Amino acid sequence: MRNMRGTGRAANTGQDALAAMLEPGQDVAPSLPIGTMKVSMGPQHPSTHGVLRLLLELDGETVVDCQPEIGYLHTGIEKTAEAKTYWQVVTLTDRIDYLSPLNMNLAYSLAVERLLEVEIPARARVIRVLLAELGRLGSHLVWLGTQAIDLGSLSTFLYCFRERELLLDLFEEISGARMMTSFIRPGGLQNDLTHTFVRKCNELLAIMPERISEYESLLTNNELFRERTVGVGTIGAEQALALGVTGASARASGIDWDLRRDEPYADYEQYDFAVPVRTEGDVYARYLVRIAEMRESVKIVRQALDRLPDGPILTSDRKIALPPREEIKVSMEALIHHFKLVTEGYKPPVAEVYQCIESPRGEFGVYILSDGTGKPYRCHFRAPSFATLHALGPSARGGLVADLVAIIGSYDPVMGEVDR
Amino acid sequence: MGIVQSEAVAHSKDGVPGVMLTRLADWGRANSLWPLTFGLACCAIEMMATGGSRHDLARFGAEVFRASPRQADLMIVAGRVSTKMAPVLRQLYEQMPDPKWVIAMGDCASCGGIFNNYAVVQGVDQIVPVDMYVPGCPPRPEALMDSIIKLQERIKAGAA
Amino acid sequence: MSLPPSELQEALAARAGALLAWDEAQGEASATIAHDALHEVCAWLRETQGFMRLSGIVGIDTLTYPVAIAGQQGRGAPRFGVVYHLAARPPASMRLRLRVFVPEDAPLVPTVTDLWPGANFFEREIYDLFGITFAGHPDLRRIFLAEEWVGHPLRKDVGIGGERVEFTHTVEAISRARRKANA
Repeated sequence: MRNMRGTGRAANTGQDALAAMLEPGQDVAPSLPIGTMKVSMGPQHPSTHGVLRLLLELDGETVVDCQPEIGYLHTGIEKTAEAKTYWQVVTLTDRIDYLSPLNMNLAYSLAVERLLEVEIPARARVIRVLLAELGRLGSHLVWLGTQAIDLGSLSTFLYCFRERELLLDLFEEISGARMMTSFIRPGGLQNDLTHTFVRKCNELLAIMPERISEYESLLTNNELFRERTVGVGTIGAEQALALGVTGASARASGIDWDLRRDEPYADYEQYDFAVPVRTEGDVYARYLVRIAEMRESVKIVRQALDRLPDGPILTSDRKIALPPREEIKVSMEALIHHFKLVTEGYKPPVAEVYQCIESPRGEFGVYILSDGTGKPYRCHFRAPSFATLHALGPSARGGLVADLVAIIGSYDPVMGEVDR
Repeated sequence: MGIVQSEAVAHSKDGVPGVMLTRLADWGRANSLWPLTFGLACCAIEMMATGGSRHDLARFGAEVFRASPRQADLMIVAGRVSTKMAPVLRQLYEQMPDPKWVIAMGDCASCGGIFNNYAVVQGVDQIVPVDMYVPGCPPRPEALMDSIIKLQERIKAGAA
Repeated sequence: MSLPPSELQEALAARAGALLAWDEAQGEASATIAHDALHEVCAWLRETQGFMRLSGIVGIDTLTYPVAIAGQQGRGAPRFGVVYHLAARPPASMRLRLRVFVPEDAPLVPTVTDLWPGANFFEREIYDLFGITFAGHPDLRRIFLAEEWVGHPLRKDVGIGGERVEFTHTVEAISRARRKANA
């Protein structure tokens, strides 16, 4: 592999291969169709992480151009959101980035709460951070597993999904659903944590650092993995910034920008965590940054569990949060509130708001334009993968087509989020 | 499979060897389903979990996910199908060799789910014939496995 | 590097005819810019004020919006809005929202892809879903929907689409309706 890579880059082009077949001094016949080849990769391809389609222009094995073609999973979520009441939209946000639904719930809830100017109880704020970081962990596990499969390491996938199942058990414990939890909602949370959740979460935290080391032992110093990733798909800081790359992919290119630290939301400023940054900007750096982020997430979850205060998990403002079940049975007022909320929902004032969070893939922003009715007038989701796909072409150009799967995986795109 | 079928027809004058061969073929088909890797959206992650360590689809002989439709005989439509994806899906189905089966995994593939709008095909059965619908958003891995086992039973019984 | 919001407002107001309105609500500063001055303002913000990241671009259709956004509504007012979210690098970590409004008969906004190449997909998205054209965009075509799609689904006068849901459980009623539809 090394030898092929070292000498092969230039000789891999179609022109050179043809020239090598000819006698010395013999010229290439003008009638021969020499040139680049156009290849459509996807939308059904095992390594495009969903239904991404790439229009490739190849010169032999070398990528001359790579244009992402998207829209194969366009779901019309933004149009649907305009027809739903504010609290119904929460279920739609789950399905934007289906690898970290809790982070999507969090971003949307924060945006709506800023519209309503409502204060959230302390316990709910801590649990939100806890769940968002568990969500990040679960999302990074899928990324690691699929990135490893793309590079031929199926066993890493099996290890990652072993721990992901434990995380999904946690989500199921509190919300009843493995993936689409809709657990974080405007006003607070759907429910409180259970004792089993806290016990299971502690158990998971106890094993997780060791398990992350286990994944690393499979890949980090693996000569084959390094051969496929070091120096592949490089993108510089300036270019990444201009292209709108955010999150771990940007931090691997030396852009020290993490919204949890720089524009804190949900009390992130009270937690002690590091922001891993690397400057190489290649696939390997993105791998290292995400692995380091997983360790930091474990740290944040532990801090959140340690400081978990007692108290309510939902705002007491009955105009926003559903009253408890027992209250409905005895209080007429509670029943009316319940009826009003379920039928028309709450009506935020006329305003517009942009709330962004650091999702596992980068800056996930929610823009809501409210017209004073119970439904959002315009609801836009700034998807990090959508912007990150800009970087795919520049980082793939000049490389080998076989490296493309490593590069796609390293940007960790989720097509549900790209196409919405 | 084509050879087995034609032999079955050739020997079916007295009925017995033909029926035996068809049954043998059905039994073989049922226990070696090769699904097409066709992840679309959220359900695809649960499909991966089904093939992952805890649930281990290999126990039922259906874990050989093929990347090419020409090597697959089971299409698991895992996720919402957009109008832009619909022709691609149809083409993939037509590229699969007979006999073939389709499982519509999840609400979106079955009926459009919560996305009743301009972009999403309201049920993949408008494009390809569906043998099995799996409810859930997304269905649990157990639900997907159940649908595969039920499909296997139907294939063995010669009903699908 | 970047000025505080109040000075930014003054600096923008000093540019002749550029700033149409300025508001600060929900802790966010927004500037409504004349659409022919947009490119020049964006270039200035990027080069001198450190707004290196274009977080995103949002299209809006104000057709049924009941109140004026930044004084841009009423009879004969421009129908479409394009909203830019800019961000400056830490430690400044400043954010600024720019709005431009364009009329229905000439929905034309200058592109900012030359300043932020990452605007490319966002502008294509707005072109696809709203039908707003970005002058000077290198590759302006539909991004989510198929090329042969007619219309722009996120416009307010376009319905949500999909299928009508029949709320009946009676088999006879359904088959009667089917027969009627087929006849």
